[in-house]
Amino acid sequence: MLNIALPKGRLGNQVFSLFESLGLACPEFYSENRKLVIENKENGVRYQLIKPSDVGIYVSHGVADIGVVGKDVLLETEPDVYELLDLNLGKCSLAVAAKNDYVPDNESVLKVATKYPHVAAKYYRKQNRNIEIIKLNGSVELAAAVGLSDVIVDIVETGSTLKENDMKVFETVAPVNAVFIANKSSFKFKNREITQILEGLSEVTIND
Amino acid sequence: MRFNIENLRKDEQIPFLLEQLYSQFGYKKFRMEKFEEYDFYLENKSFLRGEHIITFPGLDGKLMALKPDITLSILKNTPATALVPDKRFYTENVYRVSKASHEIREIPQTGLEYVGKVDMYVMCEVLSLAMRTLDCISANHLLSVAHVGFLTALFEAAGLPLHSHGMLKFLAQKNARSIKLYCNEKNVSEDFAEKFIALSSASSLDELKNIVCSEKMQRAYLEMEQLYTLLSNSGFENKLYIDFSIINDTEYYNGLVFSGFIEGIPHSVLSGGRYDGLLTKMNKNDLQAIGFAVYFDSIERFLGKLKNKNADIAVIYNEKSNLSLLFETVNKLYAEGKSFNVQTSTKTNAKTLFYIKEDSVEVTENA
Repeated sequence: MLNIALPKGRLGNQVFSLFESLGLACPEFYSENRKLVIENKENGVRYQLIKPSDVGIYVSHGVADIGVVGKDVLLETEPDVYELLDLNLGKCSLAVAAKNDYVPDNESVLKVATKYPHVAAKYYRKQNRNIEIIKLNGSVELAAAVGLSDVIVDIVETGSTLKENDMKVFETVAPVNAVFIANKSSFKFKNREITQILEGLSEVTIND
Repeated sequence: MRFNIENLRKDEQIPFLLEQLYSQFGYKKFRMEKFEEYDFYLENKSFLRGEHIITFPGLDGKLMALKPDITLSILKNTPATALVPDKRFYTENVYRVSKASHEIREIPQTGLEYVGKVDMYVMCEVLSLAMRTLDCISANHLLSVAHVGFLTALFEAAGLPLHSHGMLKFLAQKNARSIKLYCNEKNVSEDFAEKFIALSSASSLDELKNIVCSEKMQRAYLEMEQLYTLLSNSGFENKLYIDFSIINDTEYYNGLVFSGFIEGIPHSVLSGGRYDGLLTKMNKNDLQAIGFAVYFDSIERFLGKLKNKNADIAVIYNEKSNLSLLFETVNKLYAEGKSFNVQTSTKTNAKTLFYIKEDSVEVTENA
């Protein structure tokens, strides 16, 4: 039985379709129930429906053999997993954004509001920049809009949320998309099944 | 009653089995105190790879540390020479961040070190002992092997620094895309980028052979090939796998490195390699060393899932029971080498129940 960590939400639906196209269907996925674990014994798969930010944890702890998770989560939590393939789904970027009239001041401590404190700290450490991190859990744009922080480090997709709040991107930290990951031990003991899936995903993934 | 190892739980049996195994191959037991001076670990902190070290002030004011590692202590005072090796094994607790819980814990660790002159036979012996060690824990195991010399020679050929941490990180992730971007950033040619990508997924000697592009790489490849052949001919063929994602250090490890995996445990439980680089840093340039350590925190959890040993017999008594009969029964069971639990509750998973009554003992099988 192969255990697959599937992120709940829009990305999970897209990823499930991909797996379905590889013969890893599970009809229960379309049921209107609250089950968090669904399986198809015939094709030997068990899907775990997980909060996107937790997928890496389930895979690194081996309760899921493989999974799909955003690169932003991987950069923030750095789970000990194999990052086998960029799926070119859920494409966006981690960026530094601020109010349109923000003027960088390299002399004072920069206040950075973010859901990604580890990513932000690493990014600014490379620039030898002194920062104060304000860890938030959501609506991060608000922090810069109301003056809680000078800048934010957050996911940017189309940029429309920023635009509507008189903000814009000043720097790109890293590109983000969905990544196919595997537990390091499972990859060895279930190598045939995982490699088959990897090859199948490689064929259907549109690369840049 | 004679001691019988079969009566112990599997996790309790393993240290005895390993001690017997290593002693059989001529390794002597190394014992050490729980703590060393902190300065000792500070001098070699990079070998400990950023391990959190628990410190406390000694009575003489010196800062002491609960030991995070045993290898350094073995090497510190080793009597080994190039002619006469020092072969040691140990079973000690170390204090470090647990892979299982991600917190600082006391972790039982067993390990083995060979210090002296390391030749092909010695490498085969240590690798075979690593696999025999894994076999004591579970038949479903494998050993991933790689060669630091092969990798650093590829770094050299590609024009990268010998300790390219960025490339090590992406090889550890088997992250082909990031390897390509990294090579781009460092102006490494596309040919070499393809070689690094091929190395990240290489799982056979043939795949490795196709990557060779320098004399140093060829020498490292031949060493691996010879090891594989010798160990395959000794019956270890299906347990050995090439895997360059296991390399996480090129400063202290200079040749063969290996990691052991057990099916059902999500990360490696054994790691080791040839670490002449550490001896050089300790000014012991005429010596070479190879060894490994097994971390029991995850293994204990895994073995706990395999079997929870209950007593075979429940001896049940109450206030009306004849106490003489109770003691007589207990002594008889002990003399027979049986496992039993004396209790007042009638709830039990034991296969056989001894009810101590006023003037008799009733024996029944548990339904």
